[in-house]
Amino acid sequence: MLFQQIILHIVDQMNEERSISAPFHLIRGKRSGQTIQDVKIYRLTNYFSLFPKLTKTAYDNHVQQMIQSKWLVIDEKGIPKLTSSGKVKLLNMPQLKLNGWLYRGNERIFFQRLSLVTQTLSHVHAKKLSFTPIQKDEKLQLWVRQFLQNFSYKSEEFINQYHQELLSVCQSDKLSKFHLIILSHRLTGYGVSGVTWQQLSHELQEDEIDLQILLQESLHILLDEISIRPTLSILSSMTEGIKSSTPLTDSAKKTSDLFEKGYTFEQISSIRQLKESTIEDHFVEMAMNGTLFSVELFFPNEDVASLLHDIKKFKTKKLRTLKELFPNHTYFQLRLLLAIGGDSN
Amino acid sequence: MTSHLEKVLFDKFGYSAFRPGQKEIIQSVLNKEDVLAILPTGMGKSLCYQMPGYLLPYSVIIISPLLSLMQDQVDQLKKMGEKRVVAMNSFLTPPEKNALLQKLDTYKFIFLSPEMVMQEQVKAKLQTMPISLVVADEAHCISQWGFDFRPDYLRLSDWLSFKGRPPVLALTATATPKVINDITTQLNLKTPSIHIQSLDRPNIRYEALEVDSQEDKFELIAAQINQFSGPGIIYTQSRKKADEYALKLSTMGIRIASYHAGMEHVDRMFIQQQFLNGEVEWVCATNAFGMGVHKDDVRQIIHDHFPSSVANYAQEVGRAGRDGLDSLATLFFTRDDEDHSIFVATNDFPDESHVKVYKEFLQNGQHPGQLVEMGLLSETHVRILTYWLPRKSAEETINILHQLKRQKIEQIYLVKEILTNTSCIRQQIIEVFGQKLNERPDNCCSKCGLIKEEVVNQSKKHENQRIIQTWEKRISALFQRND
Repeated sequence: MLFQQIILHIVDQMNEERSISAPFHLIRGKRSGQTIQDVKIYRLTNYFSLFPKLTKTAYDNHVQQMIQSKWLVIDEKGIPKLTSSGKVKLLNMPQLKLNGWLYRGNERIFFQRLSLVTQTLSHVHAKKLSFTPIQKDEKLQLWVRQFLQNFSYKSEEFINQYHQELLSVCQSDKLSKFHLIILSHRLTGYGVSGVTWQQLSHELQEDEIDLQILLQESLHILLDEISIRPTLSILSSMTEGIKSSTPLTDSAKKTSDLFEKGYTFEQISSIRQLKESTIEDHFVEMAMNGTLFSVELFFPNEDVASLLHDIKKFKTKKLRTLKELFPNHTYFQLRLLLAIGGDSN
Repeated sequence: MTSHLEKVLFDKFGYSAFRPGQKEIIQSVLNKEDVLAILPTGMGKSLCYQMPGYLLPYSVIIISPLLSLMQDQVDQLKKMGEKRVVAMNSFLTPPEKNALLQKLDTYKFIFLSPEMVMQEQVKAKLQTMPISLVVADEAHCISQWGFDFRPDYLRLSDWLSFKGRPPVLALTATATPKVINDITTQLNLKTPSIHIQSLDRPNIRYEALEVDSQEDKFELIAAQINQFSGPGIIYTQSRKKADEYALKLSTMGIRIASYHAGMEHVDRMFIQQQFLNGEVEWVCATNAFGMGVHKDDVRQIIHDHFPSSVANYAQEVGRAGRDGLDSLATLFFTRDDEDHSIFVATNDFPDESHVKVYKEFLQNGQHPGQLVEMGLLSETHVRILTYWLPRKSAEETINILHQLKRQKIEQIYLVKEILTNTSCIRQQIIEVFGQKLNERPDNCCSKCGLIKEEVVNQSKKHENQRIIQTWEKRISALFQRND
């Protein structure tokens, strides 16, 4: 199944350097220094925040199943590793067009907007103005109400244009029939009931969680498509705030802003009342994302380029191993080097 | 006046006639009397305050004991296009609450939980704004003689004692003299006009059938569904069982889906839509299903267990036949089902040991929430203890918990007794709610004599509808471009 293949893929990329809980945090989109570093250095941006609400129990069940299927072994230190049949399983995995790092779970908000706007316009079109909104989140309801009020949403022209934009974006050749079946059956409107995950799973003979991954993928494809096709004007105004404008987490962004204003590392730590280790996480994140700052700052009188060259020779991304090899450098310095080195090999 | 009320009923609510008792209640409310109204559940009691709300000048305050009930009422009003409706509950953040309080008097219908009413800020606001009517929904919760005593409700007593307070409408489906007396005194009702409707639902026919084993039970449920038509609801006790039944029955060609609190909100809404649109004929559910499902033509309710109280049983079978047409309520049981029901009802109930752990924890200055995280107590344990322990000593709390637990068990024995002895089921049910049965319908119940064929239709074989369509068809259907 697709979900387990994704876990296998993450484990494989992590190269026996991370514990079995690392993929869990990555899939949930944890905003911690460690997870964010993993995303970058192991090139796993696509799976970030795939299931923000995944429970530990559900994850553990999948891991257990994979151990029983002999795709995965976990050593006594909790480090997972693929078996040869696990590697075969991974080879059969379809290429996914996910872009989790860019959307970070916000694609869900886009889908909620899409579903409530569709439900509303479907009812307006049928002249039935009384219905129970399918999305109960009041903030979302308010957003949709204000959004629609920007247009003459009760006019046939508007509804027609929305319908056409929806059809047009669905015709993208990056979307498969399967994507579209899932997407269209999760929408509802006047006289058209939605179909539950359980029902879809039963009818399509696929696991619920795999269908949810495919919906996620179709949303990422839709969002990419909408962003490059300016003629889809209604849909594109529905993507407001969905794509993250900075590659940084919110907290790292604040640190970065202060740094750009000229404050030093120590000043930022005291202004923000955060521990130095947290600020270190932020700088590693900034380095990883190529935000304007030079790591040389933290390596006075050293040649960063040659250090990088030395580090790469050892082909490991495990900090403890590196620290043994470079005992005169701090963990922070080594993490900075990994961060800028991860992208360039 | 008369024709005026009927006109409002049609224009605003779309009904052409009142249900029994509604009009008299509404007239008393409009006359500014205190009113106690006893109506069977699900028979249009919300209209009794919604309509006066539109005819009286100021806000209507509705006190409701259950969050889900409150939310359902709010949704119903919003669905009717009413925008001046709001629910104030403990989920609001302080800034949200303050903002809401500022403009509280701009709302027509204001739903409050009992503990909200007693908060100083809220109390102060309510004293300064004009109010046309105060409604106590599920008013029996104020009586410790009621089956669902909510100590919080007693606080309304203080609030409603001030001079010149607005008229009060108390709504309940319990008519025992003790409960009526408690409601009247605790809510300070002044010479209330009391409207009592028969709590019997004559079009619902009761049946209780003993079976030998759980396997037989399923076979008989399947046979009944194959023979007699829905729409219907099967109530089970666990999510797992709801899923299992639904899966097995659907492979037998029955259009059925499961429904329980383990499903995400949107999926639950989808099942409600399918049930309302007639795309599924049956829903197999835990007791999470019902609130918010407004379908008038439910023909059958099937239970595979003894519900936890007569009130819950009455509420669940009461979802059948809202249109007044004949309907059937069948309960299948085995000899030892009561043990399982007792287990389900009490297994998450705190006892002496939990009280001790909780007390010790508090004395060490730790937060009770940690007890849940550490797996020492369940959330239910903490919720119940957090209510009682600040109010009573540890010893008293233990006593109260013992009592409550015993009451829960007795309730289940009572359900079993009513359904398995030789007396009329209908009569025994309404006696629990304090009334006598005046008239018995034909085919009253399985003990008085019941020919099911005369009550429900034979089931029709349906074309197997395809759930999955092409995406083009679905999108077109949303905007009605199919024909």
